[in-house]
Amino acid sequence: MTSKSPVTNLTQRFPEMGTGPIDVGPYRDPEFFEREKEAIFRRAWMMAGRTSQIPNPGDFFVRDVPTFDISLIFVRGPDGQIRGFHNACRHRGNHVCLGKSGNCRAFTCKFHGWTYNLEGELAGVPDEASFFDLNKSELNLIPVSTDIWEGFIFFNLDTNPDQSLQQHLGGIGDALSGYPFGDGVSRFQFSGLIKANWKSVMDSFCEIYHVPSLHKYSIAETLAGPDNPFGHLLDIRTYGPHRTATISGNKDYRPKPVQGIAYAFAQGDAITGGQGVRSDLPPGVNPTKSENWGLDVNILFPNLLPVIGPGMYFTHQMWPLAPDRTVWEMTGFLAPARTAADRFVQEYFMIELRDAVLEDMNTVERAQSAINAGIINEFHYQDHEVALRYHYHVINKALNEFENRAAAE
Amino acid sequence: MTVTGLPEGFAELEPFVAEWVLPSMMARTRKRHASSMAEITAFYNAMQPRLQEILAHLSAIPYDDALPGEETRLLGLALSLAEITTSVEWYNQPAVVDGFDPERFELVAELP
Repeated sequence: MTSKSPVTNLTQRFPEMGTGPIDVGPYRDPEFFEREKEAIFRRAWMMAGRTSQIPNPGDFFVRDVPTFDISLIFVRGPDGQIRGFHNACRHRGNHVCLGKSGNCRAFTCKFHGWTYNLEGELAGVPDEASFFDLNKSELNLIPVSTDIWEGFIFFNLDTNPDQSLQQHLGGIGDALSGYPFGDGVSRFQFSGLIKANWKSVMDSFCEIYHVPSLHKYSIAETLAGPDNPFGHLLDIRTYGPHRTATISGNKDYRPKPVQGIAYAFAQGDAITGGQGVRSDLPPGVNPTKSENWGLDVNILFPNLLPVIGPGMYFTHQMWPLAPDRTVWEMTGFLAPARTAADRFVQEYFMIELRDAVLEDMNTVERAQSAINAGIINEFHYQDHEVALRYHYHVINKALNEFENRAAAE
Repeated sequence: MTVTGLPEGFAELEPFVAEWVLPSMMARTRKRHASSMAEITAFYNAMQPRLQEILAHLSAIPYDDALPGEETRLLGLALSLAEITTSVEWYNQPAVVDGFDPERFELVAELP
């Protein structure tokens, strides 16, 4: 099926959501925030990084989890397997790894010199004879539940997760599997502390209604052409708590001078095939197989947005800190530059993306002020903000299900 | 060893090397925001008409540790062009219009 015209009545596909205003309580209420941390973030599968960051035995990276002020280590062992551990010495809790990434043979706590091998086993304790009944075999690094999907390393802070990663991802995992994520081994990552609720930061990337207005100097024309001036979605697909918002592009867009040269050089070299649309992409990518495809915003519950477009993919990830504070991370994954010209094209793509997001962030902070002050008490979502309305309902459903289950136990 | 100069044929861009060949993205971002629109436009106007030739030249050069000094400088100019192009082609001012403070976006991983 080739669809050119965007669809309508998306919201009515989900009659249980209704079409009324949305209460902003969940975007400012400290009690709601604590419920989210407990019911969702303490037991959700969340992305740590990619396997290509640690290709060889002894390669490691550290993943901070700002929501809980926790530091995790992901390391490839001598057997090639990737494992996750809490970055905390069993002696008195100091970090055993101070670097952000690298290669090592063992992790040694700088406090007193306790040493752990790459499989997390306590291998050495200085002056061990002075301890009392120390059972080293019970003092290995504390493992964190770790699994891999399509080269993305996920972790779960629940030591015994209710669902496997595969069960958690369900249909969206199947729909996106086979996409050449593995080609994107050159990474860039931005991080910022945003003074807004994590859901607001996330939602700002999940609708295009704002694009013709907020992004009028930058990406408005590339996404919203004359035949789709308000950036109506091509489709919304839901998979349990996950969803894909498919955004149209303007294939008649005429690039600016440097932009056009950069785009032309990228053609054919990039991950999904440059300006054209590769025919071998999995069913979940450009799901309507539209000629006017712009990009897909994939929303993986709870906090990961893999955005897939022609020639690239990148992720947004939100880490809640407080009802009105979020650590946001944006990571780009690009095919390695083969030539110096490729490196220019990569930089140009990164700067366009960064500048577009710089246009977004003031809006969420200003809105948070009005929400915090009690001036704004409800949101009014239109049809093409359906992914945001769905988000609100998914979160409430997750809290209710968890709390009902806990009450029954 | 200090390598000076640009590859043959790009000598006219030499006056921009001292100011616009910078070691990191954040250095280029700060240079953009410390420059006037006249300075940015002068650099853009010198680079844009030569960009096809610059990329044709650089596309014959493997991107690895052995990147020669002259090409390193030419690429450095191109990377600064990437930084300031949106100032010219999108915003008509150095910074993003009504943009968030770019210093609040920390580049925690830079492209290789």
